[in-house]
Amino acid sequence: MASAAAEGTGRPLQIEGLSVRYGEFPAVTAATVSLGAGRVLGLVGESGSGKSSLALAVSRLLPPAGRVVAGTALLGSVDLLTLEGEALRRARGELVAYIPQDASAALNPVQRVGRQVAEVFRVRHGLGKEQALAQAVSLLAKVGIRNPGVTARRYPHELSGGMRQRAMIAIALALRPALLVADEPTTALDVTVQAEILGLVKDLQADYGTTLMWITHDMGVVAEIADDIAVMYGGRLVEHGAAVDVFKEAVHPYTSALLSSFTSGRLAAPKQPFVAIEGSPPVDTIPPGCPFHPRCPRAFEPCATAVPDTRTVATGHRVSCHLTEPA
Amino acid sequence: MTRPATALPAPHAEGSPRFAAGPSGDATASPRAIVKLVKVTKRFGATRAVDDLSLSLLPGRTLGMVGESGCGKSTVARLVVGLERPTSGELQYEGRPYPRSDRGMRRVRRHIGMVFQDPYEALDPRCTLRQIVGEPLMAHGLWRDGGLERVRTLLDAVGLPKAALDSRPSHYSGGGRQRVGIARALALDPALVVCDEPTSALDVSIQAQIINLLLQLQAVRGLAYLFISHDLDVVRRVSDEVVVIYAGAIMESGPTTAITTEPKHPYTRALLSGVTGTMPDQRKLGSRIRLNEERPVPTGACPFASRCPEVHRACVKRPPLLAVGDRLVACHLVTGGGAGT
Repeated sequence: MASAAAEGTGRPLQIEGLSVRYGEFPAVTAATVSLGAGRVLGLVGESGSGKSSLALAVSRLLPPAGRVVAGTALLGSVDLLTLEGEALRRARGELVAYIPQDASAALNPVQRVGRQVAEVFRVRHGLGKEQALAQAVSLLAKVGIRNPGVTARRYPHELSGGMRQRAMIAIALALRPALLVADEPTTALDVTVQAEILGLVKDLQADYGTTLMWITHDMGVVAEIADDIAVMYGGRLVEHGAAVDVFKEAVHPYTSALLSSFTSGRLAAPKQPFVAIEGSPPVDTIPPGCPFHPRCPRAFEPCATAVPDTRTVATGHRVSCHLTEPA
Repeated sequence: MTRPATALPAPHAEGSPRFAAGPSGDATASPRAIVKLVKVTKRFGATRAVDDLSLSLLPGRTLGMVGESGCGKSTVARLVVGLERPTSGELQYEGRPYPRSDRGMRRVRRHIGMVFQDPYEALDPRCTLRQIVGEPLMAHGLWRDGGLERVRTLLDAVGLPKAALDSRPSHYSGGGRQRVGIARALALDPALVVCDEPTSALDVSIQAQIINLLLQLQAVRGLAYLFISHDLDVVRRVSDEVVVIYAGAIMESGPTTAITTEPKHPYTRALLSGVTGTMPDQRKLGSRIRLNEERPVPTGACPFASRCPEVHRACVKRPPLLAVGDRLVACHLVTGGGAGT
């Protein structure tokens, strides 16, 4: 699979000041994320946090109503956000590929799975029907589908949810992208299947050296696969650092609340109430100042009016919170 | 728990805890099952969605039911609330078989509430909360008897403002909608509430709120819960006892802590090994138990045989569900049966 971008597998990603709006609504505001080549980022947030908008913007898949109003997303030396025309077309699949949450909605229901995987090779490598299908079958085997020849002749509805998600992963990895963006691809799956898919993507990612951005709301998934973590709330990045550092010493009150809710739930005896965050994430309007201040147990005067600066609290560990201001 | 424990109005708390008109007249104080399933089988064509299942739902207790999609757990829920009838076996409400007539079943159903998985789908967007939560009261002819006050009390009990009466579901995010769904499930002051994946569509920070609310309501009202989920981790948090279902049948059941800290059945062990770790420097999934591909198993064999990593000769014969200490297990490896043949 020698394509122009093949040697680019695993490029560093540097998102700088990215803002995305839907009409006047600020879905993402001034997000800055950096991720080393071949590393795995867990991008964490609740619904409406802006995590999917950020992922879609970087993947160049924002729906027409959404637009990038500021920022850059450098993958190596290429700014993904400025690509157009043929360059953009080539970048899809080679530079950046996207795995959606719901594979059954993303696959074509009236086309056999093998043909959908083979299409990548026909269109992009100009292979003939037979050759492309042979490539597709070997790729299906690679994503852990047993009897790939048989599966290739099936329609999506004939496959289990886990198998469909494997087929999506095959399509996404077909051209060995430099950056893979996975949007909660295991949320709808059973526990045992989720574990298998996590293991599969992690193995292939390590194998190919792909840079991986995994969007999730599940701290358990982050604990299993991420090198780095970025936490979003109300469209802003609130904490970003190495996963081990953030899990051990979360600084932002939102991150620590999420983590203590997660770990207390794991460790508490059955039927003990556990740590919850009061209130709900913002839906229609983002609060002024720090977006988390209405729910924050430690909010004080500046939080309601001023957006906190992002400060480096330890090597590679950045936080946006007024509590980190030097006294 | 950070929510202040509001003094929960339990409308029928003093005197009879239920509406008096239960089908069984006696009021023995023993912890007798509210609903009991006795050897219940439900077939859809050739498929046994539920296979010879027996269990009891006790007042004030939560029975957690785990299993993967297609294991039959939602069919169990539909049987319990009377939306399906069993092919064989019997369901009992307070010791008496579910009535055959629709009218009789309506009387039973009034004592069984249900909370659905997706609060976005389960609530009619055109209705106000007054209509949604009041609907069960109207349907059972109880609206005139202080229905409005009852709806106000229920909204308060689930942590919604009383002013919410005339708002619509679209006004709320997932957590708020699930509170509405819980208020509706409690409208008729049921003895049992069936919760079918009530938190899996919610944000993490909201899941904890809803689980805390369910625990609090149970403590105040002595509710029995049947809590169904594919997520063993969630089930572990809320249940007194856990039932692990595969292919419509019980693989293992027993006290929550025993099942989740010392699982005996290979399927329970595999489910637990798929639960993610809590620290990035102590990853767990690398050592997970890998299941074999699902294949049809011959009749009379253990239903889990094709996927079981520990399958052996004895498994061609289906293991009976036997008591092992304080739990039930259906596996030759654990109960020793069949191994010698």
